[in-house]
Amino acid sequence: MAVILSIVIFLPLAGALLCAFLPGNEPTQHRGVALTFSLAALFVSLALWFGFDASAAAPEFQFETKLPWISSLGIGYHVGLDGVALLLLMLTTALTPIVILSTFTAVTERVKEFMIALLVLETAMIGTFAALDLVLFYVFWEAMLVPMYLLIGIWGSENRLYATVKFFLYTFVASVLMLVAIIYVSVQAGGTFDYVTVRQSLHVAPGAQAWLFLAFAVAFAVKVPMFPLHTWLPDAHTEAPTAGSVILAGVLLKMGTFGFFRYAMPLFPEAALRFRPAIATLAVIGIVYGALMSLVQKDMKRLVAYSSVSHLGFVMLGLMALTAEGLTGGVYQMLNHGVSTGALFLLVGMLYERRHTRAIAEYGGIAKQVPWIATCFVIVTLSSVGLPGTNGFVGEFLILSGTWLGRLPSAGFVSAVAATGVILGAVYMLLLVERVFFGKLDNEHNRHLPDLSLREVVVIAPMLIAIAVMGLKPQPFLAPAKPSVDRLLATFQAADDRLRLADPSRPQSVGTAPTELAGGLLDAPTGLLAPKARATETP
Amino acid sequence: MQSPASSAWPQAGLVAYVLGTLAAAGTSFYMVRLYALTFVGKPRSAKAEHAHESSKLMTVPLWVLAILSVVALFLGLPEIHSLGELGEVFKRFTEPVFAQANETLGAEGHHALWPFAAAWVIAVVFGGLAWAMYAGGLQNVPEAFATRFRGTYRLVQDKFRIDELYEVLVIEPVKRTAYWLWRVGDAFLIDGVLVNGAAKTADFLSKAFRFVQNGDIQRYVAIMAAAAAVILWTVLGLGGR
Repeated sequence: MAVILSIVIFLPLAGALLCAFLPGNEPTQHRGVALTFSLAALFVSLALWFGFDASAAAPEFQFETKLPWISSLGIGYHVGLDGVALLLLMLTTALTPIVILSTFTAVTERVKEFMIALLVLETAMIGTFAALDLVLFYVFWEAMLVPMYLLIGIWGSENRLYATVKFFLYTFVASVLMLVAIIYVSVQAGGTFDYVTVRQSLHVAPGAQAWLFLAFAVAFAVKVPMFPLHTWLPDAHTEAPTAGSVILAGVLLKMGTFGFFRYAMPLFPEAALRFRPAIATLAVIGIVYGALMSLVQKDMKRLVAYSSVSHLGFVMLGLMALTAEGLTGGVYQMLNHGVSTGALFLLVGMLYERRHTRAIAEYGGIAKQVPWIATCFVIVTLSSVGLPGTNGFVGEFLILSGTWLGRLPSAGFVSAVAATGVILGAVYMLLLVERVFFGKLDNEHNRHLPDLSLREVVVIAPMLIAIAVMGLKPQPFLAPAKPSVDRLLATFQAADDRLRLADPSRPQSVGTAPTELAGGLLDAPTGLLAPKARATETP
Repeated sequence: MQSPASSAWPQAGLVAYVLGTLAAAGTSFYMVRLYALTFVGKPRSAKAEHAHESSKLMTVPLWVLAILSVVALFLGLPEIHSLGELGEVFKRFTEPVFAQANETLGAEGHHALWPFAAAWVIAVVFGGLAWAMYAGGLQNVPEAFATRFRGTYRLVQDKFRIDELYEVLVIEPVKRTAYWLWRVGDAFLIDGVLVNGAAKTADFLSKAFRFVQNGDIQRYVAIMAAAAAVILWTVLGLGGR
């Protein structure tokens, strides 16, 4: 059973190897190989999905493989999945064939190299989620940069070189900090890089823990990206080819939030508690700031890129809430963002393929011309703004209620400001829809746009189905995350108890505040109308 | 009117009644005005001259709705014993819905007839006024009112300028903030000064150092010789003393 995970990791790489042996002037063969291998990876990964035991008694990491690699340095090939990694792995294996199919007409030059880059990228992404060895994680983490650098730099738009160098350097510099921290952690943990062992045996002074947390956190925060480390994202998204944007938004950004969930938070819980108000503040700033940026963009891709800053801010806020609802919502919102923003980039890519422009002003009234693209775009928009019944609502609702109920300092204020991001989200997305699809069709170039082709229907339909299924029946997607969320909460509860033992005057900071508030909604004298009662609870 | 429910704010019931009554007065006024301007008098446009009855598809549902609206009148009649079972049908129908609220609020069911009569009086008076102003003998009043109270007339015509207020107070500030935040905060400060600034600093430093590392061997040797002389001078010779 365990070998299945390694098969899923390396199947795409095998496809890339096969492509390397096929002649470069046979683009159809490369497209076929890439699609076949990515579909095979999806098919095999279904065995992981159905084989995963999401009960509380099940082992934390499943499908584990542990082989020696560089034993003298304590580095091993250790892979395994918890529920959250499983969800993100499934997102990756589902999204990649869609992305590959979407490039069949968009990419006509250097198809061989393009497909190899995409397949190598898929292996690196799956490996990053599956790795349980710090060095192995770092290797996969950095391996993602190379194909992405090429995807943007070779197949991108006009300003691609600037964007790709910026993307590479920005994320690389931050990752090097993480490498230093990884080495330090391994030395402190007795010379092993194994994640599970390190997490158990790591004991570092509070001062060092703070620095280690920051080193990890900065690497992840750049990837998320959190305000104010986000400016590489609009450039990379705008210049990348559609496939690059979809992968970047769909999976790569989640590496940052996943990194917080898997590494920065559970390895250094005390430091995470210490920096939590700051990170939550940056997350909320990111939510509103990203939304405001989206409001004034003239370029469709730039608008969607800034909306990612806003949405990922929600994910970070959910993680920092340190409540079951917040963490679950954060994990769910990672998936949602992958689906809805991935779909948005696919649709924008389809328009770009037809008109070769991303400028919003170049469009207008094209719903009459391309009714099916318009329909899909509106559905995806509604998911992106979190309309009830779509996946986005479930995530945002869990995050906001989790934050509101949590023990984050001034939780009420924080969640109220974050909620304005939901409103602004509706404003910029609906304005985009109105300006692109509705109103008068006054640009002559838009008169003869073809609607969705059969291939494009196959590309976009799974995304729409995912939006509806994840919105109406979220339970199957929430269930695998629950054990991981509970474990992380328990880790933080233990850390909080330790801190309170050392300093009895310290208020509790993890989990949900007493039912006072929840019940208080009905019970006016002690509830909402009495903020003082709340203030004494979380000073 | 006075009930324990309004104990927190005793005038609540009265204020609600007055506001509701004003709304009712306005409703009957504007509905009669609408009817008068649409169906009564001479056609005011070429299109109106050629207006014709709509198809059965439209008229039949309208008949049904018209009949039902009259039926609704009987459902809402107050309890008058001479009417027998007809009175307060709607109230009895909705009683279970409000049962709990009535219990909590301690609302006593005492029935006065005068609000029913007042409602009718208001409807008839304001409807009649509208009829007089738009179909009857007072047809010069609207014009006179509009000229006399120009400001009020324009304010009402502009929907009290709520949209404009909203535009000024919310929409424009948000747009402006977003734009300046983007130009100054994002593009200039964060991306320009910090991110590209770091790149430009590295670029500047490397260019500065490149000036010395120009690959000219003779110059390297000359600098080496000069440096060696300085070191020797410092260590062995005059500089050491």
